[in-house]
Amino acid sequence: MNKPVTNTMTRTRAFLTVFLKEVKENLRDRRTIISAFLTGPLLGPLILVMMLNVTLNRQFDKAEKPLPVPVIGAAHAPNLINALKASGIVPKAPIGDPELAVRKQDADVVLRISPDYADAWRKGEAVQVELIYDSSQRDANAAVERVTQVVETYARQQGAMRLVARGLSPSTAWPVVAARRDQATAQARAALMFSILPYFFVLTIFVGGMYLAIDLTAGERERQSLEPLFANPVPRWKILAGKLAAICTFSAASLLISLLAFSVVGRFIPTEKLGMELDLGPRFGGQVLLLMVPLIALLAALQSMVAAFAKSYREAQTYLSLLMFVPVLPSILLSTMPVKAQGWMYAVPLLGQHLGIMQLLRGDGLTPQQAGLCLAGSVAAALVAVLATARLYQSERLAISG
Amino acid sequence: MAIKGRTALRIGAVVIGLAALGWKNFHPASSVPASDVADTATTSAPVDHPSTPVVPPTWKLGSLTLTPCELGQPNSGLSTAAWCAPFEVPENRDDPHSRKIALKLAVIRSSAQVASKDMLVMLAGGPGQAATESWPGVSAALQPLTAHRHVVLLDQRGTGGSHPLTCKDEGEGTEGGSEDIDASADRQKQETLRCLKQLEDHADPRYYTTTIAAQDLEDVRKALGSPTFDLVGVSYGTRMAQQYAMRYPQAVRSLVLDGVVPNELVLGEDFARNLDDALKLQFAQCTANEACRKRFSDPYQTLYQLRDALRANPHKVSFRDPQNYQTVQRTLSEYSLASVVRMFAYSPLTAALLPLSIDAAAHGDVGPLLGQAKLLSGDLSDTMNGGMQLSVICSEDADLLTSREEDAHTILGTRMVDTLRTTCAVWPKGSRPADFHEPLKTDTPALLFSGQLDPVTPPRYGEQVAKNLPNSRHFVLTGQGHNVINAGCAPQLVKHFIEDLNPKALDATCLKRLQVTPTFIDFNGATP
Repeated sequence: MNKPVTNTMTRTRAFLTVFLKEVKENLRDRRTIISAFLTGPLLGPLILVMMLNVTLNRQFDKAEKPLPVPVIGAAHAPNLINALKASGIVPKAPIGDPELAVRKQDADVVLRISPDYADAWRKGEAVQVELIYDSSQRDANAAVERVTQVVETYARQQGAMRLVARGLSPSTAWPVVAARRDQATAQARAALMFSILPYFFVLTIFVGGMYLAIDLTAGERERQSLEPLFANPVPRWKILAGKLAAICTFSAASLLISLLAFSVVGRFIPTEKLGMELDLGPRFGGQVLLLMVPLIALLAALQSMVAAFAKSYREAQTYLSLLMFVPVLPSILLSTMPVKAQGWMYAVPLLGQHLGIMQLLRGDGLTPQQAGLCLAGSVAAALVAVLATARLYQSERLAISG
Repeated sequence: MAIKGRTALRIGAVVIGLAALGWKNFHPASSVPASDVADTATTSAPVDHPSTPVVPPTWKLGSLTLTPCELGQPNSGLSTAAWCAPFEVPENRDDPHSRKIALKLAVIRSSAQVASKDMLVMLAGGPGQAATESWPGVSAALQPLTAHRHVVLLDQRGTGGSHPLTCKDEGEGTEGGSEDIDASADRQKQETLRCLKQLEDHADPRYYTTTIAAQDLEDVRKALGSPTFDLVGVSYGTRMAQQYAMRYPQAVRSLVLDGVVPNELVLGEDFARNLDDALKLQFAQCTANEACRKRFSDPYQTLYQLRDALRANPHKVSFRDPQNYQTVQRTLSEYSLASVVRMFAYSPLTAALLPLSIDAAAHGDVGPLLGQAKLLSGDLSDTMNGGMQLSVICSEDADLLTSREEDAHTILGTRMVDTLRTTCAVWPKGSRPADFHEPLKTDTPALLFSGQLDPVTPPRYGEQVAKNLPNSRHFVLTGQGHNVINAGCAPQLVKHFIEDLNPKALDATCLKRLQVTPTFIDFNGATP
């Protein structure tokens, strides 16, 4: 796969020629095409939709479906059992070793009613029912919650009725009620779940340009084609500019596909079940694209820079996969620990994009000031990165392979 | 390897730097001021201005500007957050220059960024209850729908915060509303006249009818930007819903009727019979249960024995007030017994207490019965507006009301009907459209609920209304009383119905899980 250096390359058209050559060449490479136009941009939306659909549907199925629960000692409390049935819990035959059964996941939760239940009930003494479960089985937790809630609601209701039967007011026993006033909009609640979304966009840009970045420096060096290229009477910065432009084009195409995919796929996310509204439409896509433009250049420069340090294709790949973790950081940090956005944060590349996209997701919109800060910060960072890469390209060592 | 090491170092430095940056930000973490989030729809103020003075957020809906408000609940310190707007209508709609009355209008705001175009409207019962005060009673059932829909609460004129027709008692120190029923016809007349005198300066009771209130609601709808309405009526609210749907069919997207009052019904005529039927059914559940039968043998019979004893010898008794625990004295008569029993029968939970309370009272312990009565009647007399109730019934039903001979022997007797006739003879009457008592006939999707043991609006009422609604479903809920929208999976059915508007396709198998409330056999409850 030798790259012929065309004779028609002139000084003025050098940039365009490098750019077109790289684009054309990489369009022929299956691996690059797949990662830039398929896996990179489409993986995010697909994973998100599948994950959400599975978890949401599971949750709702569990909440609405009858829940089978083995009950030991059902005969001691027939009316309690009736109350369970009325709430969609289906009592099953008792099992011999409930402790083992829940550990082996034969049952999510087992209910054990003490033989004293009836006596204590008649005497008006407190009595317990046991919920046997294994909290390390995550699947069981929803079931445990549900059974607990039904039992406690029944107990509270019976307690209130005992007071009323004695001619007393139930409010004597529950004098204070905590009234919740949730100020979250449905979109804000959705945003909480989708806080990983900004990372998908960054990742898409990254993956979209990754193979080009590797191929354009480390790859060429491995093939020893970089030296002849540099030997041409063309300023190296022009070659670099052409290569960067090619990387950016692939990244941008990748991002566009991803945004498109999200806008299509967003409709299949059952957010309305949670009372959420998620708008991933063209307006959202356009704004994200605007915020991301400087990042495309920044990441392209960073990638070429890192790849330039590598001696071989594989080494470059290793470095770049390490670099891939950097853009995750703001997303992960912000999604695990809530931070109140400060003005200056918008100027920090990656962080600013994350905050901006989150704000768009929440439906709050982005003020021109915030968008300006975000763009200015990232453009500055991209410039620095491009200049640094250009400097690196001046170094003679770059062309020499091995 | 040198290059590799240096690269790793640089990547590491970037990682540490970013981590430090993130870490620093957690410390000044503080929550976003509530007002910033609440008014996203109207103001575009940037999020980060904690120092600006707090301006009450506003919300434009149609031509109305709403501000946040708290809807109080009588008899409790609880309240609900909502958005309210002042709304004025002429008291006499035929004369636009007549006195203006202020209606209390509240909207429970959906959390959706873009809410559905249709809005839910809760129509309260009574007549005389206020929508803003009754909302907590159905809010749990409608909660899932508020994800996409606003809820409109309009206190019907004469109730709650809408120019209430309230008369203050003069010092008599009556306990709850049930004492009034003891009064002689003459005294009732005097009381009514006294009440009218209190009202004459600020209200004309003739203009507080269902028909006029429906026009108020239509005004509200137009002011809200003419959305379509999903009407959710409870008890008398179902009549309001049918009347509104009759006059403004294009405004109604769907009807949910809980405790159905047919238009044809003369309000009050079936009270005695319905209560007696419900009690028989209720007590039959006790006699069907061995433990209950052993304990009380025949509660229906005990009730009538107690009634007869009180008829022969009404006497003063003392008991503890359930809320402040002070000793109170009052007269226990057959009428106070009847009104207590009637209120008990409304809900299966209190109905389950009846045999026990009657038994205790028959054995001389009236504490439980009267304590419970105070709880229920205290609730009722505070939430029910008597004046507005009279305006509605006297104008729309009273002239068609007759005492029935066969009711005389029942627990309620003809007393309620007689009282209504006596008071309505004095109360000013408004007009009623000629077709007021015609059944509602419409293709509008409708969902009807009745409680099997309802002492006021039995299931046959629901059937009667559903007959004229081809696109409707009527569910009778096992073991339930009056107002059943919260029972079992009824809220889910309401949600699916309003979202899909396809009553025929509703899957109601989950309603089969509903059960009869077991009767209390002693003060520790039913059998375990």
